[in-house]
Amino acid sequence: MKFNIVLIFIVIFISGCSLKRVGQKPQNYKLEPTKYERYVSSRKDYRTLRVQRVEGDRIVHTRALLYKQNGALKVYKYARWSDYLTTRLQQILTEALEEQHIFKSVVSSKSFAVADLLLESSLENFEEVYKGSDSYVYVKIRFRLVKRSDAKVIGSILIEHKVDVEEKNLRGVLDAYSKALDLTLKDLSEWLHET
Amino acid sequence: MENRVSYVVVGIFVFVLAILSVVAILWLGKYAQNEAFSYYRVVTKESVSGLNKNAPVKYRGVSVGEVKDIYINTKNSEEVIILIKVKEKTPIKEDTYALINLQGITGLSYIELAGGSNESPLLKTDNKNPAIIYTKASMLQRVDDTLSEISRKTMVVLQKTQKVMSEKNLKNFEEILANLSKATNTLNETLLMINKKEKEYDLVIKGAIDTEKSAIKAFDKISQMANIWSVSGDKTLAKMSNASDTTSKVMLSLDKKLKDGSLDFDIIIRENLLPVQNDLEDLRGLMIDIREWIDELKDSPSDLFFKQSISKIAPNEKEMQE
Repeated sequence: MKFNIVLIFIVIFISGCSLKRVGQKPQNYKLEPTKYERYVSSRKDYRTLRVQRVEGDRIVHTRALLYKQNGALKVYKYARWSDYLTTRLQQILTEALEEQHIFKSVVSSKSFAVADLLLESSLENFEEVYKGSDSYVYVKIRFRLVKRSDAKVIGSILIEHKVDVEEKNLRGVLDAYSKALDLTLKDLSEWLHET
Repeated sequence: MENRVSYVVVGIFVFVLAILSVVAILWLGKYAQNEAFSYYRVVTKESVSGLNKNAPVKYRGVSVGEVKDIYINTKNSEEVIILIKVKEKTPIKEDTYALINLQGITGLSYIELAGGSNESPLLKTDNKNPAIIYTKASMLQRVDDTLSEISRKTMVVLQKTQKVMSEKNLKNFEEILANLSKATNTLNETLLMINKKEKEYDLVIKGAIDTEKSAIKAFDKISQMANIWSVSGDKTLAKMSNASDTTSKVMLSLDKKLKDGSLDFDIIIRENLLPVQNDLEDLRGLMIDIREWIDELKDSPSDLFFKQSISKIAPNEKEMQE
């Protein structure tokens, strides 16, 4: 008897899983720059650069598209990044810097290769900010170039960009993110070329 | 009467002699004028003091002409040009050079021509534009130059000597001599002491010899004992030797692998750590997802089954929702 009562309760409890609710599912969007462009001239630096994992506080280790409204940080309901923000940014940085031909080679931290220089980055902001009905994309990231042999910091730079969202829809937001990435990569490439 | 005659004779004699002298002078002058000469310019940068017009010009000691004129070169104020006339037949060659030498102790100078090898062609000259004979430094000039050089070097030596013999160095030298004197005295004293203690040293040496003899005896005994032990120790030593050989083989094998690069600990560690690192990355992603999910559940635990909470859409998402 007891067993039957427990079984009835379990069936009622799990029956919720069988309910089918038709609704819109979140879509995945890939974060990428407009194109991998070459911003600086080649430099004969026969060293290998390793792009370390992008660090940051808890909020940037996410796949959610973040937006800030009235001071509160929220997430997009029906859109998210295809990969974790920090992981994807590391991939983009590696690919974009390899394209500049400043170093002998640029590898990610997942590479087996031994590197001479390390590029550490700390992501401060990567969100859309609303001012009334208008919005802009705000990207703020600090980079440090470290010499691996003696673990000394060669240089450090803080790059931040605000790019207005021209079209007031998700496509416009993604375009603004791409432009902000372009500007960040340009500044970073020029800094590395000079350092 | 007698006196008057003798006066007339003397007068006639003097008169005739004067006429003959004039004739002789004229004859000699005419003879000299008939002799042909060539003119040359001797160019020098030395002082020509003591050299005058009509000063003799000699070629290898033979008088061959004289100085006709001396003047400064108007185009080069450092040069003095001496115009000389030389008997025409004199073999002045292109490599002939001139020296201005002193004539005895009178202070007067003359031109000495030297050089002029047989192979060298004759120096062509023209009386309107005489050829140039260059001078070499005369002996006096060479002596002067040498003396100047000696004087300069002597000055340098004196200056250096002065530096070496400075008061500081003299004081140091004095101290060195004093120290050397002290050292010599000490050495003498030591030698005297050694002589005095010769008997004691003899005793010490004798003792050392006795000790050596005792040591030799002791070593002999040890050798005998070792022979006795060797029988039982041979087996142990053989085992130790085998163990040593095995260890050596293992070490050689490891060393070979290390040299070949087939045993690179760094690569081995990295090869094994890299997959772990990638797995950790995946785990990190999973942890992020779980964390987000837990955060959502904290706000609305019933969402676990019923998904009741409705989150607001972003302003730019409206279009997507429509």
